[in-house]
Amino acid sequence: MGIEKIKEVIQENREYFEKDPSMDHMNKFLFKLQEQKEEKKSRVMSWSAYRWWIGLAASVSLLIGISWFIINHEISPKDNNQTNLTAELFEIKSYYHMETKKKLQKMNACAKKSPNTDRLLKSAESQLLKLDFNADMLEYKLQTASGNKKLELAYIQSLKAKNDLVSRVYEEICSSSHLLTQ
Amino acid sequence: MLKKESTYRDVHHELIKQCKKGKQKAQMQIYKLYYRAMFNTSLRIVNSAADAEDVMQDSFLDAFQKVDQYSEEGSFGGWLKRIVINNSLDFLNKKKSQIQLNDNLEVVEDTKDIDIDDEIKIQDLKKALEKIKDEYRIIISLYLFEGYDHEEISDILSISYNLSRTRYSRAKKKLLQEIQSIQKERSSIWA
Repeated sequence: MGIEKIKEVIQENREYFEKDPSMDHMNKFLFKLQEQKEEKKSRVMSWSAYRWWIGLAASVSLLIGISWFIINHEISPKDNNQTNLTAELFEIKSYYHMETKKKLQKMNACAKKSPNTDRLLKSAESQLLKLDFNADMLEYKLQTASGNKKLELAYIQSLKAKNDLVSRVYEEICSSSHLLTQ
Repeated sequence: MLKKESTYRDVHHELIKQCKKGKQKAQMQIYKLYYRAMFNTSLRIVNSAADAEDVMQDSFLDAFQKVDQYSEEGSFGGWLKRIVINNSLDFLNKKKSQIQLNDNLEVVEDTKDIDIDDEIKIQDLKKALEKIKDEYRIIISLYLFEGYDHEEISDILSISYNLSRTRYSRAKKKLLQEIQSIQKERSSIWA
């Protein structure tokens, strides 16, 4: 019976169980409301600032990426020429290249003077191509097998063979042209 | 078959619409309409006027912040009240680290043995409500004052339906005991 009576008392006198908040609750709430609005505004502003910085960072990254791409592409052909040869091998290669180049220049000059050298030059050219291909292959293999003495020796021999061939053809063409001019 | 759409519209639909747009004037109007009811709902849970005021105001701010989530399927007042109740319970939980009633250990006398005067004074009831444990006051408040049923209470308090009933039954007995002791105390003074 007790709780039914309590229910009745509550229902009939609800107003007596209610209280009012403090006198200045309205001002307090208005202040809180404005504070929340300011906070929201600054959050929006900081978000837009954040977005601005993100945009800037993205642009800088993009620029760096593009620069890297361009530089890399300029470097890559050089990279193809620069092999992982040891310093000694690289010196030997440069020496033979220089020697061969000098002789080829002189040989071309001699060939211009003597008209019957076409067949000799063509045969030399095809042999030189084979030797170049061979040297390139060995150089490629040396990239992955650096320090392999057999490969290094074969590579030096192919460079020397090219130089020897050029020397032989040079002597042949230039001596004949020399004889002709005498 | 035609689908019957909900035609419910809160009486303060226009004001709520303005609140969704963030209009401060409308927010203040909503506050004026509901502050008293929400303050008392919170007060019955936290049992302190100053704390209840803070919880009530923070609940309004929460409600305005997530007013877009209010789907207008039920009344705005009901939606707001749930926010106030949840915030009040959170406040109490934080204050007391954890409110947990050990329902198995609590021994409460049978109501048959509790003899109270037929004439229950409002002041006695108010005093008894203030004196009983928080967990008892909460369930009494939700059931007798807010009008929630045990299914809703179990959802609000995250407890089972049966536990809600058991807890209410114990709270009820405890409240009657308190009233009885207040009545006895008063009669002994007069005597």
